[in-house]
Amino acid sequence: MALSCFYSKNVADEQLGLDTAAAEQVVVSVFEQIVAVLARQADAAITDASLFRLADTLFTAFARAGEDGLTAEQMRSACAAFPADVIDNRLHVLRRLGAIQPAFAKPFQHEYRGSFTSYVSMLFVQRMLARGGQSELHQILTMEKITLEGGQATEEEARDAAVRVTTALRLLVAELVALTVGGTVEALRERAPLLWNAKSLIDQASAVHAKLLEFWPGLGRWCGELRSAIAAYEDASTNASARLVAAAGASRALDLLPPEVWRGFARRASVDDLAEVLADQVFDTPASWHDVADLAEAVAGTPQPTIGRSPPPRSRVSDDDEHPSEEWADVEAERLARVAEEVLGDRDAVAVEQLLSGEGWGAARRALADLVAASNNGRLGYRLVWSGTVEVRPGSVPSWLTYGVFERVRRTA
Amino acid sequence: MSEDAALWWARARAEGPLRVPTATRTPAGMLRLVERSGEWCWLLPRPPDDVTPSVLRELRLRILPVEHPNETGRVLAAALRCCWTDVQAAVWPGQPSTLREVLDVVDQLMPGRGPEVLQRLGTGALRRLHANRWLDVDYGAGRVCLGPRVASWPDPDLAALRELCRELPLSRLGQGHDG
Repeated sequence: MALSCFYSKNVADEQLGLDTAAAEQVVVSVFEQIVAVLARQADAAITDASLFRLADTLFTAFARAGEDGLTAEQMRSACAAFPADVIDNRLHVLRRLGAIQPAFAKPFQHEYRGSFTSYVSMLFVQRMLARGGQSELHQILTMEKITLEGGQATEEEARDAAVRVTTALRLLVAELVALTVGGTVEALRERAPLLWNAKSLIDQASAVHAKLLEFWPGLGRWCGELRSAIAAYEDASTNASARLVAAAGASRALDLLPPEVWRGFARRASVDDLAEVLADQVFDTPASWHDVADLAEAVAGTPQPTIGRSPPPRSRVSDDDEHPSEEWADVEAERLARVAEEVLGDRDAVAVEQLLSGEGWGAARRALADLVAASNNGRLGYRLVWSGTVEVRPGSVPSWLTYGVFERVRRTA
Repeated sequence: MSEDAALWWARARAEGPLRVPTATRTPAGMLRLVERSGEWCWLLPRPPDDVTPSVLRELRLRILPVEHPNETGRVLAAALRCCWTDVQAAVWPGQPSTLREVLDVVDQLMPGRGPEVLQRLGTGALRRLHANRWLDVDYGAGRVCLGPRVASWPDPDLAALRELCRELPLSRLGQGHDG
């Protein structure tokens, strides 16, 4: 027991570690995509998200230090939470690339200051990390529109803007198409945020396009390319949504859980969890309806016995009192009476569970069938009386038990 | 409709006629049927314009089928004959009767079936009617009463019901009520 607890705890820890590592990997891959255009070597980007946090800590310390700057020792102590060799490596890289510069242009300088440009680029990276490239595209489109509307842009700038937006849209389309055509549904679902706000992105791009055409009719060719890029994005997002919708089935919930998770939930959920799903639903109770016309029809349509088969005249007094048992011709009733007497002995009533326990279900079922038959036979004076409760007893026979009593009917006449 | 009444209607839809203490206030649009004892009453949804589920048939929609509709209908008619002693009054609540009396009327309706057959089909029909609250059957005491659902027959149908009851034979057991 203790061993298994220990084991499962270990597994859980490992699982947690793997999850964290996967999340870090995603963050690092976004870093790499962002700095890719600036990097000189494939492994030039950081491979650990904590290095990014180190730089963040460092810039905060620079900001606090103000115009005096920090010495190398002060920088190390500000980043004391990280290992020493990591700090040395980072300081070396940042100094080489100019993110950390000498505070004054004098020889034998000990004070350093942080670069404003580097920090702002860090803010940009963080925003890209949090909101993705698509949101950035939104911002760019908004800014382009404002610039174009201001009327200060030259035709040259307007053309560059058209080319930039066209290129960004085309890359977005290529990624979406690759996911839709070749990717798994899971990958597509993960990147579904790419599809969010597709409509507003298209509207914004169309607005930019309209402004371009309005102010610079000479840019017709570039505008045509922008138009086709917008149309391609529209198609690609429609197709991707269609595939997601098809995979999601009738629920139309694009970013909901995959079906395996639902199946797992249905198997593992508690009764309360499952009941909660239907808590606000009302189901009609099945209630039969007897129309008056139906009643009249049923009574009127009573099959009348034909003359030839009419029963012999019978006494008006009930059978039980007037006709003694020798009239019992059928063997079945006699057998049932024997069974019933055997069960009852000299008692007047016996509990059913007492009769059934200790036997296999096959034997118990036969015994129960006999008792029910005896109870239903109007000529025999026995009956089964059931109580309302059912007890579930896993492992015993019978496993579902309703308490009941098999008893003699006392003649009241 | 108030939220309270809506909840009562939802409960009545899900559970059928509701048995509540007499002190309960009657929700809007529901029929209040006080039991003979006076302690409990039944709440029955009353649709407007005397609409009954038979409307479904007129609209060519599926109505919930009754098992053995003819036999069940005959047993219900026989129970009405025994319990609805004063046909000029409302059907509910009627008078208590006994299982033997009801089955005896059924026997006269369907002569020549034999006691076993009668017992079997009678028991089945009584259970169905009890489950749907058309009748209140107490097997231990051998007693049969009308259930709250008989009050859902609209007034225009009562004339046909009275006619039906007049045609039906009385119980031959002699201890019945003279109606």
